[in-house]
Amino acid sequence: MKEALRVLAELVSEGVIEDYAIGGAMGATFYLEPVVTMDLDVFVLFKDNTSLLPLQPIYDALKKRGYHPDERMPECIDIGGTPVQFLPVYNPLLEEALAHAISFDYDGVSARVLPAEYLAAISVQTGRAKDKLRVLAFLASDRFDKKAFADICSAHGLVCPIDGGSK
Amino acid sequence: MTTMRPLSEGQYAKAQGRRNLADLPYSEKVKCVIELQRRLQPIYAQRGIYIKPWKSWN
Repeated sequence: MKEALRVLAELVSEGVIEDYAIGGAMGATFYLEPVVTMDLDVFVLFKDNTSLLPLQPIYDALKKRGYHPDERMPECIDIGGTPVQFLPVYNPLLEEALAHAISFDYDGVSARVLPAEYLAAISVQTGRAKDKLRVLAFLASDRFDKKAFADICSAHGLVCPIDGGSK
Repeated sequence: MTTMRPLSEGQYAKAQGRRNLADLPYSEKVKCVIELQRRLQPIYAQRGIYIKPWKSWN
């Protein structure tokens, strides 16, 4: 995990990616109780977002470092024993979420994670069963700003689950 | 007949356990995730699904 975060910081400093933040289950785990997941979801922002193959520069940079697709999850790159799935920022909600990402220290390595309220809003947007459970876990958390979450949902046309589904 | 007052939030051990886990440092939570992966591995293997726990938290 630490190696993956160190490599991500290097990709930013080398200009391969403009910014990144941890999302998905490992992002939620930053704020909530740990949940099992098999990969580390990383949302990435590029300087040039017009490419048809936006992730190719990352794969090329990682290949040069000796990192290859994970055997069991080929959509992920195995970085030091942690399968990392790179996801391009593909809509305004994710762009805004990444702009508000929080930096933290992980055993001496600087890393970035999406804010809890944005992670919940992204879960509302993706809307799978596990995402709905994640939203419920966030809503039950003491340190979750429900108003900020409702505002984000409203701004992005999402049905906010707090007020009974009305926007 | 009077009904029992609901217990305060702090008296529910399960909720408290969740809060305690949520309050752990991130590196400790990553260790928990890896432990969960290790415990899940034989269960999944019996179903023909092969998962690979992460090597290390650091």
